[in-house]
Amino acid sequence: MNKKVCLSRVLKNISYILFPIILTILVFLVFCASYPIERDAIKERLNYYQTNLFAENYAMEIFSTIETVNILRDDVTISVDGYYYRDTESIKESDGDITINYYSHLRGTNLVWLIIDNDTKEAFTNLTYSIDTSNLDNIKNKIHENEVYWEYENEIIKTTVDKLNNDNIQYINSGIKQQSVEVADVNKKEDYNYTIYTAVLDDLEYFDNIYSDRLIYNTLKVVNRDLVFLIPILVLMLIGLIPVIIIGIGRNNKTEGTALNWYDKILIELAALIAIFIGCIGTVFIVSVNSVSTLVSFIMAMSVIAVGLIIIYLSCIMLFETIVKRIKTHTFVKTTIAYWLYIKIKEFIGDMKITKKLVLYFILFIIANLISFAIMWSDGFSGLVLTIILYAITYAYMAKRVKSYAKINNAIDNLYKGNTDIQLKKEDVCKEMQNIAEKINDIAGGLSNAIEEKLKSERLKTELITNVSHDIKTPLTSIINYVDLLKKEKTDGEKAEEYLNILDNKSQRLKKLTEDLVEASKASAGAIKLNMEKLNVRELIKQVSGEFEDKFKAHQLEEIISFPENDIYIMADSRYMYRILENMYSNISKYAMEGTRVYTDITEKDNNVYIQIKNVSKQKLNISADELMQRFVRGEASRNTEGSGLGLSIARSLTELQQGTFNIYLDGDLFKVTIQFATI
Amino acid sequence: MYNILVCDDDKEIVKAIEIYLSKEGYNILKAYNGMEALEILKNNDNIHLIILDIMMPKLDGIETANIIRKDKSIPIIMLSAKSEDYDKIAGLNNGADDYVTKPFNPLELIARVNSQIRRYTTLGSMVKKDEEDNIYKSGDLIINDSTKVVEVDGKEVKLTPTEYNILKFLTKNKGVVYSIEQIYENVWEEESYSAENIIAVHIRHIREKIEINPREPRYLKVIWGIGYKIEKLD
Repeated sequence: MNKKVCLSRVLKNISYILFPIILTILVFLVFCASYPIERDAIKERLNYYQTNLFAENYAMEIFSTIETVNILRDDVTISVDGYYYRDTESIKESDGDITINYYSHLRGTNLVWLIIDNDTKEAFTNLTYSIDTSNLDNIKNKIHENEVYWEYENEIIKTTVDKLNNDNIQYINSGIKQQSVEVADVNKKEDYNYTIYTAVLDDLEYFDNIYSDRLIYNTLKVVNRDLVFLIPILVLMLIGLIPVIIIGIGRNNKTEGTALNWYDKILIELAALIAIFIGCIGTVFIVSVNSVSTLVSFIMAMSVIAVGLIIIYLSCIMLFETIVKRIKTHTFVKTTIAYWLYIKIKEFIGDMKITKKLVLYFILFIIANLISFAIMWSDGFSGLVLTIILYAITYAYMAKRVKSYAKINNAIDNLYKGNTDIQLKKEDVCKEMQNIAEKINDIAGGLSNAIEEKLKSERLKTELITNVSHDIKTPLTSIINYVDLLKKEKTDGEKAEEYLNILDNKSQRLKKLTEDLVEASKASAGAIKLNMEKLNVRELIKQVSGEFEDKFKAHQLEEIISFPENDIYIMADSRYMYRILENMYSNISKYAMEGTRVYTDITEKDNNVYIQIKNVSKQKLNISADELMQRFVRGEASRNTEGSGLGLSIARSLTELQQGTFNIYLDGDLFKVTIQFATI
Repeated sequence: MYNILVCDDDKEIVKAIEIYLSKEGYNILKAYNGMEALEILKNNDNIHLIILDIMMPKLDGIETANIIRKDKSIPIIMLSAKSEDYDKIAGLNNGADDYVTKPFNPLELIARVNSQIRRYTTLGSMVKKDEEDNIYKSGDLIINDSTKVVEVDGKEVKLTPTEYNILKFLTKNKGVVYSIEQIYENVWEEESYSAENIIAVHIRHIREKIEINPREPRYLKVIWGIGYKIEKLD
């Protein structure tokens, strides 16, 4: 990992160095490509000195040399590139009758020259005075050392440049005239009788037009055919460097991810200011260079400019790096002044109490309203638009709050109804109500947990009771069977038989009790699988009543049943419906006063069927209906009769499991049960 | 002499069953867990019925029944303290022919044993009777309409004419559920009164006569709130 991080960092730094180099080459090549050079010359692989480009430059140089001499010899102060030369700076020597003026300060170009005025016997040269150049012949030799020359003597041009020979150029009015370039000052009246010797230095020493054009021409000669590929390749290379740089930014071998320094943590605007300031320093360097005359000063100037450029480049890198780092760490927006202000305002408002916030928002609304009214005063339309926008924003703001309120209200309604399956989403409600929403979620979760816990414990209880009942049943089987066997054996005396009967009764009751216990716990825990069917209430009552006909008769009970005209259907589990009614009827056969009537009334009302069974109790009912429905409670004090006391509890649990209601009314000795189910 | 294998981990229960069944003239073989039962079955080919407890050490009743069913068709009566519906279903699905819950009524157990033995040993003769006319049957409930005789598990049952007509009608249409009204209209061939529960009373009486345990009928089933039917058995 470390090595990889290092590598990307190294690659980035290499890219930073390559980038300006490639850019410079690219700019240079583009500049070359757009430079006005005759393409034919390149195609013909001509030497630079054979091209029109050179010829024009040479002609220009010759002309400007003649001009300079024309001016200087009149002993005036002239300005060349901002520098002032005076004739007095020259050295004068005499060679016979000819005076030689050494204008060595005019060595600004790659041209060496000697101009002789045949009338005044004066000679001018830009060569420096030395032993080698002490007389005219020496000077001429010095000039002739160079390969490329141009001479004008006795109206004859001698030159190595074809395009500057007699056919192409004329010496007129102390200047030269070429077909393509008008370089002679035709208005000049005075015409000196000059003999001119010029040559271009073999080794170009000065950075003048000849030099730069030769550089461009020679470059083009080399790369001309490849430019088509070279420029796109360089452009692609530049583009390719950008991702390498971006990946490498912020990587180091100390920390993983993007490393930030103090500069990356300050406000982006401040960082930009610092970078711009540094850039300005670089610019000052460049601006301070104002004149280039000699080679030395050129090198000096170039170094100063280079330093300036490097400083500017570094400041650009600085700013670029910090921007990339901020984007990488997603802190770009967060470090802007605008964001900082936004956070501060948000904190300020967020810390406010909701009542104060209301006041603030109201004031802001009024101010905005007044502003928009004021605008309406001067410009009706834009004021109206502004007011509409303001009201729309206010409405949206209020609508969001009202919607949140409605959602919370709905959730609380659900919770109140016992539906604990509510989950208010944080983004569904506005910020002010998120706290309420979260707490409602917690309450709902707590409630649902409590309900689940209760169901779980009920189920465990049922399981325990079921298991215990299995364990009780095995010894009970032996008791019942051996009591039965004992009864069949011949026993001595009536007492033994009486005791055996008691044993038989009690063991049978124990059996019933065990079975009812399991059923009661299952019914109250809801651990019963219901098989819901469409049942006919009339059929059901007739069937159950038929089952108990004999038992009722044995207790001299008369059942009076009343039905509505039509059949009534309910959705219920057939077997459990029988269990409910069986418990009711068997209770009646056990506890109803003998010789009385039992009323079973079936009524239908508002899509509900009510099964009402009324009877008169044998015993005094001195307990409440609620108590009666508790497990193991029976209406009579003595416990001699069969039954577990679970009958009503089981019946109620089973009814409620099937979405019905089960109610008991006691009025004196009148015992009334009402079972309600929804009809279909 | 029929041989019955009784298997229960409670020795007293095995002993009690032995006393009851011996009186009925059966020979009893005893086992106290599933492994012992399988051992006895391996050594004795002449066993006509197995009474099997479910909760036993070493090998429980369900697995024992499973193993027995792999190569034997001897009737198995499960005898268990587990009384839930799914316990009964599991027992019957794993090879049991009948399921009796503890604590059991000795008379009911004897009746069920008799019934299973009869079915197992006299299956051949039943088929022949089936082909005769005027015979309606479901399982071991046979109604001969020519002689007006009703037999359950080979024993004749005395019914009143009304009871006989209701039972005949339901057996003729076994497997179909009829409401009180429909039974009334079909048997009496006239419209029923609204609050009549006479059919329900008759049905109860029929059940008491033909069923071993009227609370858990095998033949005359009550579908509460819908009607009655005779179960369709082979």
